[in-house]
Amino acid sequence: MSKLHQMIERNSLVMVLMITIVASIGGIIEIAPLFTIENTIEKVEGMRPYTPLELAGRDIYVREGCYACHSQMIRTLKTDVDRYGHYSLAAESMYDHPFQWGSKRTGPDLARVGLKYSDDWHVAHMKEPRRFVEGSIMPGYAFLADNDLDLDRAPLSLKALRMAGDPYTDKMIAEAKQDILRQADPELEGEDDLEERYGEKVQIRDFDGQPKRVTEMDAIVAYLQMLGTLIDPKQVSDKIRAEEAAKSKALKGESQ
Amino acid sequence: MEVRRDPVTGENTTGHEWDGLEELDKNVPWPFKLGLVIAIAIAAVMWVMLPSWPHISSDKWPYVTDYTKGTIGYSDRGRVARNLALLADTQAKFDKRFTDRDLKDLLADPEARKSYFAAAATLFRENCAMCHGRKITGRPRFPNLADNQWLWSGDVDGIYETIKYGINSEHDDSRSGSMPAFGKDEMLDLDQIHDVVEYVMKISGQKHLPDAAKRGAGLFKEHCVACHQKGGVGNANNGAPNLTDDEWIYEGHKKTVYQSVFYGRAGVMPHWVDRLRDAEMRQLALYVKWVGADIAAQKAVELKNKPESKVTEKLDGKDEDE
Repeated sequence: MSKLHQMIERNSLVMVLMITIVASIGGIIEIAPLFTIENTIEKVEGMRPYTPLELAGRDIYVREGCYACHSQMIRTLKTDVDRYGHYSLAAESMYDHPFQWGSKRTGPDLARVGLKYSDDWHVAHMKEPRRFVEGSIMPGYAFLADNDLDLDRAPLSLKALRMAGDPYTDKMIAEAKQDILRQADPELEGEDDLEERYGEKVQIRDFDGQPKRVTEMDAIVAYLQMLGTLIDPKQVSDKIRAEEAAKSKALKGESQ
Repeated sequence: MEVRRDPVTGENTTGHEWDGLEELDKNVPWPFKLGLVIAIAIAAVMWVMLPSWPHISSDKWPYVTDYTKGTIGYSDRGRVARNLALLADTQAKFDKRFTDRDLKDLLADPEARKSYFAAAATLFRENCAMCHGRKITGRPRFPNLADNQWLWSGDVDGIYETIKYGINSEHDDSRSGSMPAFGKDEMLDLDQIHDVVEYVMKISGQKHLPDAAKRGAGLFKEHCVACHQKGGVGNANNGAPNLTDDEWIYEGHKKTVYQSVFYGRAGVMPHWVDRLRDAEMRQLALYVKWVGADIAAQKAVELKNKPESKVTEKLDGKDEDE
């Protein structure tokens, strides 16, 4: 055994000091980048916080453990992009607390499932998934259409997310309950208010085919139908493609 | 206990002793040490070649907004952009023979079918089968594509347009057509709806109450013919279905027809122009026609081969679907 090693092992104070240094390397590498996160996530146009109805749907998504089988992150792989659409951008998860990236795909990725299928399909598929997709092992969620949505949670959820840094205003929180009804019932007044608060891309309609009620099915379908619809990811990838083209042109120029 | 030389191995002991057991002060075997050194060396090389260290950039001081790009300029996004460009090249070659030609032309071309069919079948399974089923025959609420009954244009160009922009979809150029909610919006009262439903039962050749159907005929003329046309044969220009055939999207029972009249309908077909390439949408339009024709041909053969005895069996009250 070397002299140095012997000295460290036999001197507890030196030992503690060395352990602290080694352990903190891992800590620094994991924690330090978080301090720069505000500056490193690229800015994209179109992201907005969830509407109260979508947020309720997201809570149901988490409650039912959908993330265990469905990822919400399209990776920077050719096969992923070819199948699911443009790869996910960090900014698309900026209002997710916690994010739903997932690490296991038993079902398909859902990051851009919004508007891929009709509401009718989502509702029917939620009720009897294995009837609609051959080889599916997804359990049925028919009860979501029977459960009335708990509206009282909405302002509290918004408030909690504001503490986590989402830009919900006092007005949004005060109107949260009413905004849920406005989004799920196209005949209610106040469509403009909703769009003013959450942008023009808010989808306002009766999602679950039960116009008289606002159910958990309304919420989950509203959530699924907005996934990936807010931003145009090409604003980022066009830049990258142009850079790559320029790079390969430069390479070709060199070789000639 | 003292450090001493072990007579068997010739190594020193550490000087520790537990109930008479001593420990040799052996070095780590050199291959392990070499492995460690090589790993560190590889890491050092990768630090230089690949993106590694975040650092403060001069224009946004003091925020850490930049990183060392590495000598080979690798990035995941760059790689996927390159791979997708290659993929696009391959696809363009595959599509080229057919993109310039008219869809109607391609429909009749057996070679086009040979080249497109397998790819289109995969596309259909991945994107369309969710609603329309793998056999393209649909299910309640989701139209059968093989019955040659079309809400909108049923020629291949029309189908292509439906795929591209959808029906009642979020796209600006979407086809749009909806059945008004005659009951909910109080355009007809419950008795009137009942009569109209009976009339629809009559024209579709189902069991109905003759008196009610007669009353319903007048109401139908007044409220329904604008879209469904005289006699309820439908109109492909506004997506009003033919009510006289035995193909139904919403099953065509009295109950569901009643629901349709009371609450209205506005079925949605999503638009695919943002998700699929143009050539892919063309392939799908062709695929739907090809498979539809196959199924129709198969049905015709079955009908032809049906033994005469079948009719008598049916009269005997036996199940007609065997």
